[in-house]
Amino acid sequence: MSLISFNWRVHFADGVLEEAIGSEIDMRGLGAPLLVSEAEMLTSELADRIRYSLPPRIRASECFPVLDANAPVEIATALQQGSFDTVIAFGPARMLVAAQEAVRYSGQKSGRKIALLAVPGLEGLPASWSASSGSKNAGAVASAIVCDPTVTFGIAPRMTASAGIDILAQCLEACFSCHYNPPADGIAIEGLTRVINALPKLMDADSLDLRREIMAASLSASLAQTKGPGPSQRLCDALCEATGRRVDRGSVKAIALPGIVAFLEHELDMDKRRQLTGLFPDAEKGSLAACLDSFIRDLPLPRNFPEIGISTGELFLAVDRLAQSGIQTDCYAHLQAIPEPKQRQN
Amino acid sequence: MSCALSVRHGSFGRAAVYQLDRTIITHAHREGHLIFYLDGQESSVEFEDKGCALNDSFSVAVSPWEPHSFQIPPNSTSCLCLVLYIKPIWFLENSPSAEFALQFGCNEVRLTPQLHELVMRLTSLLLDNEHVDQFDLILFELIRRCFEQTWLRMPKAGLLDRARLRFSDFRVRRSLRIMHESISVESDVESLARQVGLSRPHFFKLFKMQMGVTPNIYLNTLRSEHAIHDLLKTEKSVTDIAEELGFSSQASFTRFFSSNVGIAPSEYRRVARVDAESFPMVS
Repeated sequence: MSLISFNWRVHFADGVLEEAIGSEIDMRGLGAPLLVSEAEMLTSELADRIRYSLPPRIRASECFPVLDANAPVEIATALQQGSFDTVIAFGPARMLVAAQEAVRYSGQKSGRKIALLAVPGLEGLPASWSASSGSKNAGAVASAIVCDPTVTFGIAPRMTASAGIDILAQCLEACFSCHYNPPADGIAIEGLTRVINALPKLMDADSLDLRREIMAASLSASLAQTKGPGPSQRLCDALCEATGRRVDRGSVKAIALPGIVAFLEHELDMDKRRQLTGLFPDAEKGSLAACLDSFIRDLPLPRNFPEIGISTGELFLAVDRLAQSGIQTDCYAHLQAIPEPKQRQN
Repeated sequence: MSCALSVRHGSFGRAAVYQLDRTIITHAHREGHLIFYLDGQESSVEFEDKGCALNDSFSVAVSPWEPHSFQIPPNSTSCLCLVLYIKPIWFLENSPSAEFALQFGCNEVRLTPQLHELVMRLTSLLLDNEHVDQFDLILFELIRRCFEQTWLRMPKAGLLDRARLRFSDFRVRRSLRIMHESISVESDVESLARQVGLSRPHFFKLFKMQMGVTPNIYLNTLRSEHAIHDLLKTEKSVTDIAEELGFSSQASFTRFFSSNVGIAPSEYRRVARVDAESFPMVS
């Protein structure tokens, strides 16, 4: 990798949401926003906070599609029906991706420049954003990103744990990638440190300081993904394809990640392995995989795939797809061939 | 009669030198607000539970959406003061902290020699009416020092809990939406309460608890902001602006504007100077 690209404009502070949206709209001279999120967010507090953040003279239209493969088309259709100059996308990472796709498509088709303001929720930013930002024809992933930890306050520990493990996996797998990107390596370690320190404490008591740490880790994880998606990320994508359903990425990663790490950790040099192991509270347990497993076991997350509704058949189908997609030809070139099904059962 | 010697709008918000000789009724701003005494009659700023002196020893800091009124003894000479309305995002973008938007720890700011010097330099730049690059730097330094002083010996705990409370009730959220959509009509609180399914007293109490201001003050702030925007960035006459905002006459609009902003709308339009970046949407 010779191109290192971080072209992001991020507002990051507690309670910054309203001010940042208003300021971006004023600064860019925008006046016709389309609010975009999934249908379930229509009456949410976050949706109301975003409506409130708009200057009173501005009337926003809204598009809240069901979050599925058709969502970008619905958003693009809404964009074509009005003369919008902004999309304010908020909530789940997949909705931010859908909005980005719709904005790019509509912009190319109409020749108009449409700003995208992205407000991530607990899940953080889409992993694919930083991965795509390295391509030579990619512009900024969004005109501006607003990270406000207060939007995640009060979310249930189970969902927080899942999001935390998703973030941890992104950071950890960035450390395993053989792509040469020193800033991303540093960012990944920084994100790991934050999430490992804050996540267990958040299970006991909610706190804005800890929420801020998790959101900062989430931003780091997104930036570290410049090195490309890791195996657990790809496994989640493959499971979505194989099952035709959305999967809880954090839960999938909580189950799969210790095994993936056990498989990969010997590829790391000793110093790096020691550095990563030392970030975990049970560093004396020895291997990185053991430390990770111990960390995850203390969180309220499922222990196996049937618990999250994924059958063994679906899992094998997903792993076969993953193998066919050529995982070992990309950034994990050092990864050995994925075991055959018989070996997997063991 | 109160008048403005200088008003400047910029990306930071607004800065003005006012000569005030009458009370400004209870009102609020979405910006962080600082008032520095310069000369003339000493006065005070009243809050719900206390008053703060405005003189050559003390200045006053007002957090966003904190209700307050400006008090000056009747039949006295006027009070010359430097008044700042600072956009929290501007402060945040320049500040090293990512923890708080522009919420002051307390309302009273002791005017140290360093603060006094910054106030004088800023006032001088404002009155000279020159676009000086130093303006924003001095302004930020002044606000930063005041902000830090207000947090000395003050616990920060609880502040964000209050901020978070603002949007926790869906009925208040709905009422905010209605107010934003119907700024140009004389909405009465009774019908607003009905629209969100609450009795007037319950709505009043809930709104005040969550937003920190009454629905009336909130609506007045929206109207003042809208009026200032139109005065500075459009060619609309004062009568047209009054009509659009739902006032029955220009006189009643002028009374409303003077008692909320401090000076008459035509005076505001005459004096105010606008940096290009303050209203980029129109400029």
